[in-house]
Amino acid sequence: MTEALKIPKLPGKKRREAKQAVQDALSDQRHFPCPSCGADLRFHPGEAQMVCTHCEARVPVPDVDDAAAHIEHDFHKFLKDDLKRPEIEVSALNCSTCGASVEFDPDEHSRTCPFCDSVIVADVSTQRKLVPQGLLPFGLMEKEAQAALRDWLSSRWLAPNDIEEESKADKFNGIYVPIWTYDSTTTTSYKGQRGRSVGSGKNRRTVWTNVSGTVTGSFDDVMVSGSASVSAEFKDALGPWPTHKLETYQTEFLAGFRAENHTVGLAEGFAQADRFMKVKITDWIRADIGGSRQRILSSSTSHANQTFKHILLPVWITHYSLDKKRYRLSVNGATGKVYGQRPFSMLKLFGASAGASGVMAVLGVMLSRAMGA
Amino acid sequence: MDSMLGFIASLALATLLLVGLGVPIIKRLTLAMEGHFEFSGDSLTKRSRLAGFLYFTAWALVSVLAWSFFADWFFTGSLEYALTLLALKAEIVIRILAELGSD
Ligand SMILES: [Zn+2]
Ligand SMILES: [Zn+2]
Repeated sequence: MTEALKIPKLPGKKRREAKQAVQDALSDQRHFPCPSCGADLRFHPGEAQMVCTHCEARVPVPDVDDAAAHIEHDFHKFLKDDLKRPEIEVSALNCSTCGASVEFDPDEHSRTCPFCDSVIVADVSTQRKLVPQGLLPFGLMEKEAQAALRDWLSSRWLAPNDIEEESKADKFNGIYVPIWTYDSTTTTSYKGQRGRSVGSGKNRRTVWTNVSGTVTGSFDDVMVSGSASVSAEFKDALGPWPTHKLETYQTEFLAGFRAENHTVGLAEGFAQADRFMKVKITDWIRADIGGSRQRILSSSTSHANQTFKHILLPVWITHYSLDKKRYRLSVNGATGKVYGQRPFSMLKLFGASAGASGVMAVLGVMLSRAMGA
Repeated sequence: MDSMLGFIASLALATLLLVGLGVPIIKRLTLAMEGHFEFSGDSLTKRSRLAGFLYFTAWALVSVLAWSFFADWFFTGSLEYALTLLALKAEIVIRILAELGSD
């Protein structure tokens, strides 16, 4: 889907010039100058407006009908390229460690990957990419994300004491992560066997009868990450997402934030959605076969009414250090749900194990006495 | 007393082993419990959560059997008798598990 126009490896000055040209061409898409002082406006989470970083002037985000964000696009038409959709050119920083491709912000001096925390050595490239149709705007401000993080850390079981004070969180990166959602109506014909048990005790066995049938069902908005990077874990871990609050894509919502690019294509994404659907369909087949046990010998599924949406979801990401180890934490930018890696206190774990062992020992002695009697 | 020394040494070794084994198992259980309350019903994380609960159950079961074996040994003073009882208990547990598994 994205066609990378890598800047060739030019030495020294030429290379810097090429980079500068890319940055100049692209930086103004995302910049909204303040009407009163000219400084940058940033999107203000939780409100449909942008706020000036300098004088606090407020400019509302243009009110656009959100219908476009909820449109289901025809999957096959799109693959055949009948569906022309707007494309934009973006400059991207590509992380060679985790595979994330993040929009490059010339003002952002940190060259660490916001997802995996490794130093990005890969280069800036320009990519043509489809404009997402919609996004879920950030509803939480950075300090609210920080508060959610502190609450989450302090409620971890068997974690070191003073974990909140000890953990030194870096700044939070507000990033829109790419998502595909798929709808499909499925018809699955199957051949299988229904098992029922006969006899009792040692003579119990299962008798199998051949069965076949068809199950139909429909899936609505099966979510698949549009990226194979670290951000793929956020889709489930930070869910559920209030997708009814989707807004039509407008760059104003991205002012002051960054977006990760879709690196998983539309068809590739559907293959992932299909794996999820297969699990559900298997359940349907088992229910359809009935009996006490089921065997599925073969099944084939056809899809109809396949549609998709191409959207962005908001995530606050940070990394924190504790005892020289780095942990990654993410906060759902819309709901405040936290997901992350957490530390354990070895001492507390040992204590818990010893305590549980004490309980088992009492039970063991009771068992011994009960049998002895 | 020779057998008393053997008893204490075995008990100490088993305690160390079971408590030590419990550390990673309780870690997994904690993650599974936290995930249980916080994650939406995702089938992939569900499997690893289930594994967390299963490991803990297995550890608890083995622990109870081990402690009851030491209790038998202590109260009867016969290692042979305690071992026979342990084999019997293990067989009962396995039979119950097999019964559960077949349903
Ligand atoms: Zn201003
Ligand atoms: Zn990375």
